[in-house]
Amino acid sequence: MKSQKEKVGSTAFNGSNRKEFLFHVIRRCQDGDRKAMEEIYSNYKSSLFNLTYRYTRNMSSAEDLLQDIFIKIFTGIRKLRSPEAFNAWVYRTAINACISATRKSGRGKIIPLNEINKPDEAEVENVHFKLDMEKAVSFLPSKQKAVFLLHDVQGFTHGEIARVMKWSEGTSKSQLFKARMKIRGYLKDKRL
Amino acid sequence: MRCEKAQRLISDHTDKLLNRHQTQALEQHLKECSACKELFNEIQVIVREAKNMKSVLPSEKLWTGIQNQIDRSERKNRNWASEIGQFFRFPLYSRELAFSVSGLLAGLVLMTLFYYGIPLIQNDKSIPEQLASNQFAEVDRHYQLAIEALNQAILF
Repeated sequence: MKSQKEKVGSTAFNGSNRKEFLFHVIRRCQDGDRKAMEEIYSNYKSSLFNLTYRYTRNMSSAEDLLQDIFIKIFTGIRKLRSPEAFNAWVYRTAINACISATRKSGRGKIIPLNEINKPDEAEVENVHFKLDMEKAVSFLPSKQKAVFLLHDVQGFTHGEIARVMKWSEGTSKSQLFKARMKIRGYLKDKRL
Repeated sequence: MRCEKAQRLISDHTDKLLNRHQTQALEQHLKECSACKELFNEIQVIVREAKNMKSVLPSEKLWTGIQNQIDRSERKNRNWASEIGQFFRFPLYSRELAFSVSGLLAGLVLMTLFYYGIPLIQNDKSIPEQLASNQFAEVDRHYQLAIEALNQAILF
C-alpha cells in the first residue's frame, strides 16, 4: 500500500524549508534552465499523471495529455509573477487541460479498464470493488472528479483545492459531498 | 437533527471537519437513524478505497518527448525572431527591446493624436458644423456683392 506522502504531488517541494528551494527552481526554470525543468517534472509527474489517467482512462492518452500539460507549464512559467501561486497554478493548468480533453473526446465514452488491476485470485472481490470504484470515478462530472481526485486520492485540503479551482472552501466541500454521493450511488447500483 | 442536514454533515464528519457541537449532534443522530448510519459507513469505505486507488506512473521516455517538444518550440521561436530581425536589419532577439520599440511607437501615436486632437475638441463647433458655417458665410458674401452690383447698375 502506498503511503499518503507518496500520493501527494510535489512532495519534495512541500514544507516551509523547501519553499526557498522551490522558488529558486522556478526562477531557474523561468530562465530556461533544463535541469530545473527536469526537477519540476520529476516532482509533479506522478501526481499529474494520476489525474490525467483518471480523466482519459487510457495510458497512452494520459501520457499525451501529460506531455501537453508540461509543455504548457514550461512555456507559461515565464509569465508567472508570484512563485507562491506555482503549485495551485500547475494543478489548475492540469485540470483545465483534463477537462478540455474530456470535452474533445466526448463524455460518457467508456474505455475498458482492464489494465488498472489484474485480477488476483486471493482478492477477487476486492479487485472487483476497486474496478467499480475506478469506473464510478470515471463517470463523475469533470469538476466533481477533480475535487474527488485531489482531496480523497491525493490528499489535498479544501483550502488548497479552493486555490486551484478558484472556488470557496464551501464549494469545494459541497462538490466533494456530491462526488462521494454519486460514487456511492454507482456502487449501490452495481451490487443490486 | 433531520436526516437531510445529517447527510450534508456526514461528508465533513468523515474528514473530521466538524466542530464539537456538530459532531455530538451528528453522532447522536447516527445512533438513532440506521439509514444515515449506513450512508456514513459507505462514505467511509469510499474514502478509504480512494486512498488506496492504484497509483500509476508515466513511462521513462516521456521526459525525452517533452524535451524534444521544448527544443522544437524554442527553435521555431528563434527562427521567427531571426527572420523579423533580418527584415528590419537589426536583431530583435530580445523581447524587452521589441516591447520598448512598440511602446515608443504607441507613445508617439498617442502624442500626435493629443497634439492635433485637443484643439478640435476644445472648439465649440464640430467639423461638419464648421464647414456648413463657412459655406453660409461664403454665400452671404456673394449675396452682398450681387446687391452692391445691382445698386451700382441702378445708379448709373
